[in-house]
Amino acid sequence: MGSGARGDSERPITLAAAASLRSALPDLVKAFQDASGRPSIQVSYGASDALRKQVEAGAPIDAVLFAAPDDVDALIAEGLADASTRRVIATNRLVLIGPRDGPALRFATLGSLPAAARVAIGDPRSVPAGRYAEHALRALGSWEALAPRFVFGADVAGVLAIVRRGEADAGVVYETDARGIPDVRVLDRATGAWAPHVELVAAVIPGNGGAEAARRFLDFVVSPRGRAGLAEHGFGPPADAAP
Amino acid sequence: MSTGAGFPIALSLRVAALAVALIGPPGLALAWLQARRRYPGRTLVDALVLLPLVLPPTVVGYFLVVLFGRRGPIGRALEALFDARVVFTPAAAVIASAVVALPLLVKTAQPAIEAVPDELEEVGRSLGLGPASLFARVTLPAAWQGVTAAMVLAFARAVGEFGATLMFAGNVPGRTNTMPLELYAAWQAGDDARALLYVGVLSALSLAVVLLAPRLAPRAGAA
Amino acid sequence: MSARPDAATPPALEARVHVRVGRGAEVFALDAELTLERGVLVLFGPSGAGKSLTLRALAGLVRPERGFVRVAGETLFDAERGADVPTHRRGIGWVPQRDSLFPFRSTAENVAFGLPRARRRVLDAELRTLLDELGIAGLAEARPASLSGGERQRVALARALAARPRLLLLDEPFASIDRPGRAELWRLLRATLDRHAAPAVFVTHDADEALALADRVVRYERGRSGKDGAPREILADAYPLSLDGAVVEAGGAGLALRGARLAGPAGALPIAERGRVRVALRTPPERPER
Repeated sequence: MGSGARGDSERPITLAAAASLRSALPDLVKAFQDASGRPSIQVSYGASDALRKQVEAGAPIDAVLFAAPDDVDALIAEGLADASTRRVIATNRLVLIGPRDGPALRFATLGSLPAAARVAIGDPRSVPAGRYAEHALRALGSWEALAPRFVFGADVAGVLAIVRRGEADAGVVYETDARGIPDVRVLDRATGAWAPHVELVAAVIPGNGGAEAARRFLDFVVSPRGRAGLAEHGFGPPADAAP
Repeated sequence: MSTGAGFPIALSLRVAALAVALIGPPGLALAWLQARRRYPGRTLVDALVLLPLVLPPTVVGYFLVVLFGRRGPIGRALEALFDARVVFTPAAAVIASAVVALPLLVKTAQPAIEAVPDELEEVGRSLGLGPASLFARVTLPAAWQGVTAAMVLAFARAVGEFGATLMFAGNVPGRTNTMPLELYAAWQAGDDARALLYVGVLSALSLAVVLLAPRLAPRAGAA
Repeated sequence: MSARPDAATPPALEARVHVRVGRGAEVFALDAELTLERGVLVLFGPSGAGKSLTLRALAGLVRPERGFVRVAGETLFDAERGADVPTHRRGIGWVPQRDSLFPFRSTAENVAFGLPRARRRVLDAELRTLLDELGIAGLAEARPASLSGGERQRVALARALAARPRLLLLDEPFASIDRPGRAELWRLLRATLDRHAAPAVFVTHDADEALALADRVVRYERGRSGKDGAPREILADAYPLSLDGAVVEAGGAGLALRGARLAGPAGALPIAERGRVRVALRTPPERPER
């Protein structure tokens, strides 16, 4: 990629990104700026729902990078996002985590926990990680049985906090979120037919003045260099996504 | 999964009622103590009682988790002795509500009890009433308006408690998802219909309290 | 009026107390010594002399620094022995000046308040008699707010008596009642106390009241109680002239006395030792304020 048109090089662009990209995205942004001399790129992190609402309310966001397709597709259906720019930028996996000194569990053995135990997941109504967790546990047939034990975190960070304190015996988060957290250990990875395909999807939001530059950034993200950067943080390549 | 729309309403009312029942007797006794007795450390007790009213609810929640959590002193003791956990249970919701409602109860009941003429209590004692009977049969009835206002306000605060509850009791559907928690979750999920339901109930409750409490404000002196 | 003490029955009250209240510059010290065999003892003196404080010490509402209090032979307080019976166990009736009826209770409920629960439920014959004696039977269901000052104090009195106290303490109970009503209350109180044989200590600064009620009077001055004596003795200076005699006839125009003597600061003057003298009493009209 060479240096693009300098016409829009002065204007900073704003991205709205899912919280799970909080560790990986800064590196990608820096690499992109070094390579193309682009002006500042501001990133706003948050829960995909909240960010989607901001876009709907007209916030000056040039591109979205969300943890699940639903919110992106909703924006496309509303005519706010450019369908032609929609792409899967990475994949992720669910993992089961537990406190450092807690019991060893697997997704399949969660039902063995006593009734007073707690399992922390994101609120499926608003957190994509929670929806993926529900998908996985329903596929395993243990969703109903586990129902009395769930604690809903407001977001993935909330789930992590609960498990780190030892207030829950297990939690479900993305593999990328569990990396490098000292007080938790990964008990199990969601692989297998029942495991959901976690796709991170992005699209450009035209009309806020930075569409061209945003498209170029998304191109960079799916390029080999971009994918390498994401892989360093534990994300899987887009090719792993379901067809 | 989500519980039926009516569950958080019933839960909130239950939790608030239990919280008020929990703090009622000790709170009123404390109000009497602060109203009637001067003792060393009285101002400190006053400040401690007022503290949960002034502290941000999240700070209160933080302290509760630190104390009652599985790694905290009280939590560890409870788990060792009774195999019981507090965090993320309905008990935690009751405790969080009780802690934030206590200052309101004490501070509203205290002036009402202060306003009870000394003569009434002195006569009560002369008629043979020991301290407990005196409190129950003379002081409380004489201050009933202020005491009722105190309970009502405490109940309202307990129902509306969010910050401390979120941290301490968490969002456990079917157990601790009180109205304010459920309202927040529904809003986050974009479920405006549900959010509006709880907005309505909570607003109606608050309005009722705000209209009722001033009419019960303590009137100085007896008839 | 002081009968010889009966060796078998202890006096209704024996007390000697030293009480300090207040702090720093505002300290008030009281020294009081009282004895009452039976009947009514009046504590008489100006406001602030320590009469009410004495009463509070007897009731246990205030703790003396030194001294002792014995009622009917039982020690209620003794500084040296460290004895201090709490108010609710002293068996003492308390009638303050005002504001003492429980506003949330009816007359009958107020009167029965100090009694065991069984007797509180239904007014028994004894209580009904008491209400009749004090002329408040018709007010049994009324709330204190609807009663006049005099009626309220009668209820307060009934309430204290219903609990059968060993000693009744009354702190200027009629001070806020106007004069015409007071004379009737004095008569009622004396009659009731006599009928119940209830010893009482009564505080007042009104000489007429003291004279009407007292068997013995103790005069108070600036934190000290004086010696006790017959009402006439102690209150003599409040009444510069006195007329004594046997009343042989009383009517609208006055009294007929036999063996009358007129006494005053200048001495005593006998009038009508054998015959009768008719005495008409007229009070001068009120002088209008200028």
